[in-house]
Amino acid sequence: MFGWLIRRVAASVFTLVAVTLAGFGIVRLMPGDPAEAYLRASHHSASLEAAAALRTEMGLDQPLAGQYLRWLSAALQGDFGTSFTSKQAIAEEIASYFPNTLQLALSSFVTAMVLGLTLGTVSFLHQGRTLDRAGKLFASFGAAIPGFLLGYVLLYLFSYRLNWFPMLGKGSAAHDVLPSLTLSAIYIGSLSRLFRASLLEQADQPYVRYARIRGVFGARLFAGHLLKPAILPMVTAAGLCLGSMLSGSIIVENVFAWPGIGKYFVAAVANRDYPVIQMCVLLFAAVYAGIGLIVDLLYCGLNPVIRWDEGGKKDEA
Amino acid sequence: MKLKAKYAIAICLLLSLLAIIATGCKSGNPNATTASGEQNSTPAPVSEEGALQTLKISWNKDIGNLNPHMYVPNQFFAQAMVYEGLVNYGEGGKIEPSLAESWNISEDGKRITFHLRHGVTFSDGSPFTAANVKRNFDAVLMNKKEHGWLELINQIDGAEAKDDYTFVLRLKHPYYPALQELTIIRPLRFLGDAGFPQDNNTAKGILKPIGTGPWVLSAYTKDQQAVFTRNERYWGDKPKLQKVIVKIIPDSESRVLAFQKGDLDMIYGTGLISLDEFAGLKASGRYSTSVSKPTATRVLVINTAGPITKDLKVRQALEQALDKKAISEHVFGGVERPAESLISDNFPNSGSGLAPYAYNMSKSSEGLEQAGWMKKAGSDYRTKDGKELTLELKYISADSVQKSLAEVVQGEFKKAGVNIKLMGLEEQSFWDDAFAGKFDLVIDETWGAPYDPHSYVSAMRSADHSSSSYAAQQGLPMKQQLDQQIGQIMISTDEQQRAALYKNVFATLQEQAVYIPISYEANIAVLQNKVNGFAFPPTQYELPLAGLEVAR
Repeated sequence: MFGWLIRRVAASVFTLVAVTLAGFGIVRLMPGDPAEAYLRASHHSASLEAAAALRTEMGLDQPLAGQYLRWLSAALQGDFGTSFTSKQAIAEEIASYFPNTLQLALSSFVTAMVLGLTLGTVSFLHQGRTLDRAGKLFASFGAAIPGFLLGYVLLYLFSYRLNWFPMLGKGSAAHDVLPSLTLSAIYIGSLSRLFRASLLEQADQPYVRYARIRGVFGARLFAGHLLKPAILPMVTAAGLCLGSMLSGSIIVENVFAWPGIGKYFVAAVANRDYPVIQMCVLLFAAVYAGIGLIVDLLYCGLNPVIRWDEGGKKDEA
Repeated sequence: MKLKAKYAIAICLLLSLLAIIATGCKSGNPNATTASGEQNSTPAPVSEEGALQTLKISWNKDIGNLNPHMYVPNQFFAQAMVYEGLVNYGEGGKIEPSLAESWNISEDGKRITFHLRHGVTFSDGSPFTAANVKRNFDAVLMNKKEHGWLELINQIDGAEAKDDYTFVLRLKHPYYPALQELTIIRPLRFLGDAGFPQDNNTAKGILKPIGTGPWVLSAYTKDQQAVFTRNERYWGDKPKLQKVIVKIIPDSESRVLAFQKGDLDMIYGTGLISLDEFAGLKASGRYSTSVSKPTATRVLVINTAGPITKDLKVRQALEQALDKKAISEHVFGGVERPAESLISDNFPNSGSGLAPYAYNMSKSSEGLEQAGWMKKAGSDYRTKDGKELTLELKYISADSVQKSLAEVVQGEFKKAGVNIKLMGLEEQSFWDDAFAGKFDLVIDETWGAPYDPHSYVSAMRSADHSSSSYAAQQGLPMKQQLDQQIGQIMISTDEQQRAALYKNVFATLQEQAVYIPISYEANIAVLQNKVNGFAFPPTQYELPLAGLEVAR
């Protein structure tokens, strides 16, 4: 198990390095030049001389391999560079945006899990009946409605019309409610359907039938025999859901004027702010890798049947 | 009964399980549950702000770090609230006194002496003197390359403080737009001494935003909001407002909702809300709305070196084939009026008086036929030697106004038998192509006050990446003479001679049909009825705060 963990972490590090290399390459393949993008955003003209000087200052006149290695070695020493656009330290900027994203992601994640699992359970218990069908409709609706539209509808109804929640921005806990609902909507539906299917699958297992024969019913059956195995596939889904919430949502951030990392990243792409793009790509990759690792560990904790063989692979016994 | 109990217990179990997960998650993140920031957790809009004259507005980007000598991410309006220049751009481009009460220009045009206003203090109480003016000029001149886009910077030979209230600017050559360029919001405005870093190099950052302007930044949360309070030491007419709160709201629909809810008192600027949204607010009749005089011109630039558009007859025919009135109504809801000239005549030296090309389909068709582009019965588009009359129109795909404009232009030109191939490009790629002359037509705009017309025209001469003009004009047989005339304009000291030269330049560009002026851009304003005293400022980038009042 310990050997597996070490191998697993090493693989994650390798993935991260590969991602930084890919990110570095892709931003440089985009048309447009950061120096000119900065100058043009600043004033009406980008003189060729100023652009050349700025490219030198940004280190863009160096050979690509050198640029990458310099960036990588600085990043490894904790120096993530300075934004081309704002001229502020990127680490500081991310430290100001990422906690906001984290706050929104966590409240959305909890909302998605609570509502998703509840709906899934209700659908399971009412399989084939009205509530199940309503759940299915809700799931399709949640998956189909574009985030910005739902955001506007919620803002219009609950803030503008009913005045239950504040309008925009970040502040009190009440500010979190509408953006969290918007961001979680798409996941609530899919999580509920997944959980329902998983419960149904377990309900059909021989050990559950045997438990029924033994006279185990109701809550005891649900909690003792169904819940734990059914929740296992949910761990992976939850991991993916949290990962995508943590990489910021430009749409929800825009609609609710939420100062998160999604907007920061998209603005950096538009401005060709290479160091910021590279850092965000690295951060998002690290978030996914970290969550993947946690999901694997949770699997191991939740289901002792899954063990690790000597080759380091997960294997069902 | 049995089923109900089963259901209830299952739900309870599930919820308690999730509650555990939830508290586990939340404990790492105390901000999620505790209130922070200035907003009220109860949504009722009434607060202690009601007692002060407070105006709540919004902007789509963070205001930046309020460095008077730097550019993005600093926003013009915020810099203009805190910092002032020696002179101001007044109505119709008139140069007005600001921190300089008066000035003289030497006969050779190479020396400008400014007599500074007495009794002006910075917001920290320190006096504004010629020594401070020199310190600011020196800081800007330390980074000549960064600021070289502004021709004045390249023309400065020296700056000196003659005495406490006399400042002299020496130029290498006479340069008539010197005063115009001193009105620009950045980089030549003045930071108080206490704001300077030790090495004076403000390009690397300032210590504190201290200016002489009517407003002081009093609270700031990056990307959320900025609060400005009135500068009680301000030398000029103090604003009636005491506080201005700027909320950062990137999305236009959300901005409109916040305004309708009463969270905002004013929407002002260009591009903050769509013209449809503006029309909706206007039609509701519940707010006061207004549209400014032209601030800049939206143009379709024709490449005079393009394989088809190098033919003058084709370009002139294109000028006559656009129904600008219909475009103004359909694309801009009447907010942007149809444009007749490259520079609107509310600008100085706009070359007004030239007869515009009138919308005339039969003349346009005649012109295209003379150029050899014939329309066969049954086909939509004209051909010449078996080749179809197809032109590429490039625009910025993320700009929704440009996109709908491009589509309407395509439809209009189709009526004339011209096939327009639309190419929406991502912004940086668009400019790459525009500067390299890789287009038949592009959508562009002039630069607005105080840059129009001198900076916009001056940039036509330069291969620097400033506007699509340089590339577009490469096919003009008289390009060299045109550039010489523009050069003369910049150094002429005689106003009449300068006006005549401007007229010549604009006449040539018009006759050569390089630009199709489409519409005049304008600032829009939407105000709650409780806000009074509104008037549009003379430049595009400042907020109209001077006379505003909020009724209690």
